[in-house]
Amino acid sequence: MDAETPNTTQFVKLVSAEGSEFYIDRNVAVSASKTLRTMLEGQFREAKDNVIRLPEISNYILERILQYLYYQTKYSNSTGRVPEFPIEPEIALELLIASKYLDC
Amino acid sequence: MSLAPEEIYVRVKRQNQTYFIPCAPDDKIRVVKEKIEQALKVSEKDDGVTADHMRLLMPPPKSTVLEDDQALTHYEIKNDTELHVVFQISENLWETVAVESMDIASSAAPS
Repeated sequence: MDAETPNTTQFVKLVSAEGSEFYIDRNVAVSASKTLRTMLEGQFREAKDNVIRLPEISNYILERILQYLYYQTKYSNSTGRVPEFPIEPEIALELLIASKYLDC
Repeated sequence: MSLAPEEIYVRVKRQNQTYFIPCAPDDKIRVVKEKIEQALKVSEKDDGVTADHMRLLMPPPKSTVLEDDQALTHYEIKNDTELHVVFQISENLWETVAVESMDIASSAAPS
């Protein structure tokens, strides 16, 4: 990356416990998760690298969380019909812990 | 900022990667590829793969190759639809579709 390239990319990358990579829209990340916003807008290494490691969140949970971030972004100001966001009972606890950590 | 209600996203998978690409239902397939190209700018190791060297497909068993100039609606792609992408390795060689399974059972248990 040369010096002229701005550090702010349109997307950011999240890395799960298993090392899988999820690319999400930066605006969705900062508007739907306070934790991600703090990481991406503060003086953290994450803000420079555009990569956030989440070693405590497994693939399946992270994918569901990210679906939720997009769902929240899409429907937060919506006055129309909001579809349900289904959560399988067997992941409810893990999802709750992860969403608490990400503050979303 | 919020996505306009008519905006959707697709989940595009390749190996252990998932791209959450925001788009509109009438966007062309080409637009999705260009956004993946943007997403790759985050990651240095895949930097340089451009939209011209990507192929988007429906997940198996359909595995239809999606044409650049068709709109998402043409393939009945909706919000949260899963697609697959492969990169071109050399002139006549493309990656095979290989997507990491992400069901609950194959996920690492929390410690």
